[in-house]
Amino acid sequence: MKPLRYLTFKTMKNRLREMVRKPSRLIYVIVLLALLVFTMIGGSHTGGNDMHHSMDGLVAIVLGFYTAMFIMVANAGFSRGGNIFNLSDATLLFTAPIRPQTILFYGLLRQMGTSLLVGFFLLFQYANLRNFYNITVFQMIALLILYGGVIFLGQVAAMMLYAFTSHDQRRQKLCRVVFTGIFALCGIWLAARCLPFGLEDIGARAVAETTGGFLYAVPVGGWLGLAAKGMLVGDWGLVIQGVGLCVLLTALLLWLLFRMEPDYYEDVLKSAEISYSAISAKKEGTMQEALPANIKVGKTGIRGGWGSSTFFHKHLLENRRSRKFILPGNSLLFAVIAVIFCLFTKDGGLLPTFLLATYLQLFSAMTTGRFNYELTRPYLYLVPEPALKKLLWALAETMPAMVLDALVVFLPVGVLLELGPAEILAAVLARISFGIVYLAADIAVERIWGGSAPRVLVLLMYLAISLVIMAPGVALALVGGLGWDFGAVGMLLLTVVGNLPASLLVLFLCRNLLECAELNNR
Amino acid sequence: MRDGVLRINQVTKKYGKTVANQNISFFVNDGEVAVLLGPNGAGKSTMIKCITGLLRFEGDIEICGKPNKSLEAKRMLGYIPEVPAVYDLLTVEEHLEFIRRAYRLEDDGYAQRLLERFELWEKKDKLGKELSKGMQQKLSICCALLPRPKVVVFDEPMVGLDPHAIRELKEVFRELKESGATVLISTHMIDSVEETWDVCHIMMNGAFAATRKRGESAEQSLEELFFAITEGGEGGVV
Repeated sequence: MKPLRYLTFKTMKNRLREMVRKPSRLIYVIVLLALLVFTMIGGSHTGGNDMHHSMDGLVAIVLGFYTAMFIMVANAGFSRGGNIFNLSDATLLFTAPIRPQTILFYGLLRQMGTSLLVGFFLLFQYANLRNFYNITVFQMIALLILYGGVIFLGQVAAMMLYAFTSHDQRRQKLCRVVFTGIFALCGIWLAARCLPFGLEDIGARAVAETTGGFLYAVPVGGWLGLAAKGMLVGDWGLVIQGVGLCVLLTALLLWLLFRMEPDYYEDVLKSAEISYSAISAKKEGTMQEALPANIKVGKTGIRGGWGSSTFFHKHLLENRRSRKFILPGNSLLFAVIAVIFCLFTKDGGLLPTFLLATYLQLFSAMTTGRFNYELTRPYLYLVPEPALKKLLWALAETMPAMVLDALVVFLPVGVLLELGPAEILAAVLARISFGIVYLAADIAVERIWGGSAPRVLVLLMYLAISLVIMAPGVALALVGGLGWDFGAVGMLLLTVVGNLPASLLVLFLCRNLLECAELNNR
Repeated sequence: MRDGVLRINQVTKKYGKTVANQNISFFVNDGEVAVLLGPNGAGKSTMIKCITGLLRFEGDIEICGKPNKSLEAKRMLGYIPEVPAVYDLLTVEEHLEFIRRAYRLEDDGYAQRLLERFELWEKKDKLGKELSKGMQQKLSICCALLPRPKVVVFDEPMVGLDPHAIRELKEVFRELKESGATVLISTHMIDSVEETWDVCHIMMNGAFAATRKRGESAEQSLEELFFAITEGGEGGVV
C-alpha cells in the first residue's frame, strides 16, 4: 500500500503546487470558494419563504436526478468502460508487484474523490433549496455525498458492464437491452400512472407516484433517493436501507469482477488507452469525437457545396455517418423540463416557461456542432475563402438543430397553454434568435480564450458575453411591452429584432478566428 | 537573383517571453527545394506554421508577391502538416472531393491520379479513421497537392511513412521541382532530402546557424555540417 499512498499524496501536493504556480487558476478557485461561502451563508440567513414546499417534491427531483446520472455514467460501460484508471496507472501500477485488489481499491477511492469534486457545483443550489424546502447545510452536504455515491457506483457498474460485455457483441446487445429496459419500464410505469388522469395536476401526481414507494426499488438512483429522503425527513432507517443496498451492490459488483474477470487489467488497459488517445489527440490539436464502433459509410460523395459552403455539406455527411440525432441529448432533456414546468405554471402564461426555456438553452446551446472539430484541422484556415463566409458556413449545420429545438419546446407548450399560431411562431422565432445569441457568445469565448482557459472561467465568460449580446433585444422587448403595450407576440418579435443584428455583429468581429489557428490556441 | 517565390523577411515569432524564431529572412525561388534542418525544438515547425498563416508573427511573408494571409497567397500554397490532417468520417475519395469543391476546382481526374500514385485508389471508400498513420499522411499529401499549388510546404513529411511511400514522396519532391514549384521541407532526417535539396538552412535555437547551397562546398557533407553545429563543435563551412 506504501507506493499507492505515496502516489496519492504526491499527486495532491503537485496539484496544489501547480495551482499556486498558475495564479489564474488560484484566483478562480478562490472566487468559486468565495461564491460558495456567500451562497451558503446567505442561504442560511434567508428568512425566505414561510410557505415551504413539501419535501416530497425535492425527494422526487433528487431521485430523478440520481437515476439519470447513474444511467449516463454506467451506460459508458457499453462503449469504453469507466475511467477509473489512466494510462500511467495501467502501465506503471499494473506491471508493479502490487495485488490487483489493492490497485482496484486505490482506483475506486480516488474515483470517489473525483466524484465529489464533480458534484461540488450542486452546493450552489443551496440558497434555492433552502428557500423552497428549508433544508439545512448538513442536509445539502448529505445530498452531495449521496450524489458522489451515484457517480462512484455508476463508474463501478460501467467497469463491470465493460468487462462483462466487451468481448461479445451479442452479450453486449442483450445487456444493453436489459439495462435500458429496466429504466425504460420504470419511466413507462410512471407515465402510465400519471397520464390517464389528464394534464391537470400532473406534476403533483408525478411527485406522489415517484415518492409512493415503487420507484425506491430502482437500482442505485432509487436506493440513494430513499437514503436522501431519510436524510431530509430525519429517518435514519431509510438512510441505512438505501446506503446498505448500495454497499451490497458495490460488494457484489467487485466480487463478480474478480470472480468472472480476475484479469481485469486487459479491459481497463483498453479503456485507459482510448482515454489517453483522446487526450493526446487534443494536445496535438486533432480533437477526436466519440464515434459509433461500426460506421455505415452508405452513399459516398459530398454532393454539394462550392467554396465555403463545402464545409456545410461535409458536416451534413459527417453527421449522417456519426448517427447522431439532430438534437443533442441535453436539448431533449431541457425541452421535457420546460414542458413539465409549463404544466405547473400554466396560470402565468407563456412568459415563465419562455424564461426558463431560454435559461436552460444557455447550457444546451454550448455546442457549436462540428465547428470545434473543424478548428483542429488546418483546412478551415487554409481554404482560400473570406473568413466570415467560412465561419458562417461552418456553423450553418447548427441551424436545423436550433429550429427543431424551438419546435420541440414551443409546439407542446403552445398546445398546453392554448396559444394561437402567431404566438407559437413568435416564441419559436425568439428561441431561434436566442440560440444564435448563445452561438455567437460561444464563438466570442473561443476567439478570446480558445481551448486553453479553465472550464469554469469559460462558462462564466460565456454567461457574461451572452448577457451583453442579448441586452439590446431584451431592452427592446421591455420598452415595447411596458411602454407601448405590444403584447407577447410583439415583445417576442422585438427580441428577435435585437438579437439577430447583435449576434451577427459579434460573429463579424470574431471572423479573424479563422485567419490564424493560434487565435484559438489549438 | 530574383527575389524568390516564397519570401520571408525578418520574421520573429514569440510565445510570451520565449522566442521561437528570431529575425529570420530567406527566400526560395521557383523550381527550388529548400530545407529547414534542425534538431527537435529548433523552431522549424513554428517557421512553417508562420508561412502557412496558422500563427501570428512579426515581419513579412510573401507567396508569389502576395502577403501570406491573403486569399491569393492561400490559393497558391499547399501545406502538409506533421500530424496528418484527415477527417475520421470522410472516405479517402471524399477528402479529395472536399478539397476540390472548397478550392473551386473542376474535376479533371487529377484527384484519381494522385490517389493511384500514392496507392490509395483501392482504398478510396475507406474512412479516414480506418487508415493507418502512414496512409493518413499520404492522404494528407494528396489533399495538399490537389490544387496544384505553386508553393508546397512540408512539415516533417516522412514521419510515419513506410519505405515505399518515402521513395514515392522523394519522387514527388523531384517532380515538383521539375515542374517549377517552390518546395520547402522541414525535417530532422537528413538522408530524406539528400538527393533533392538545393538550399539548406540549419536551425538552432530559433535562428539560422548555417545556410548551405548545393555544390557550394565539398569540404563537409550536409550531415557533418549539421552535427558540427548541433553538437556544439566548430561552425562548419557556411
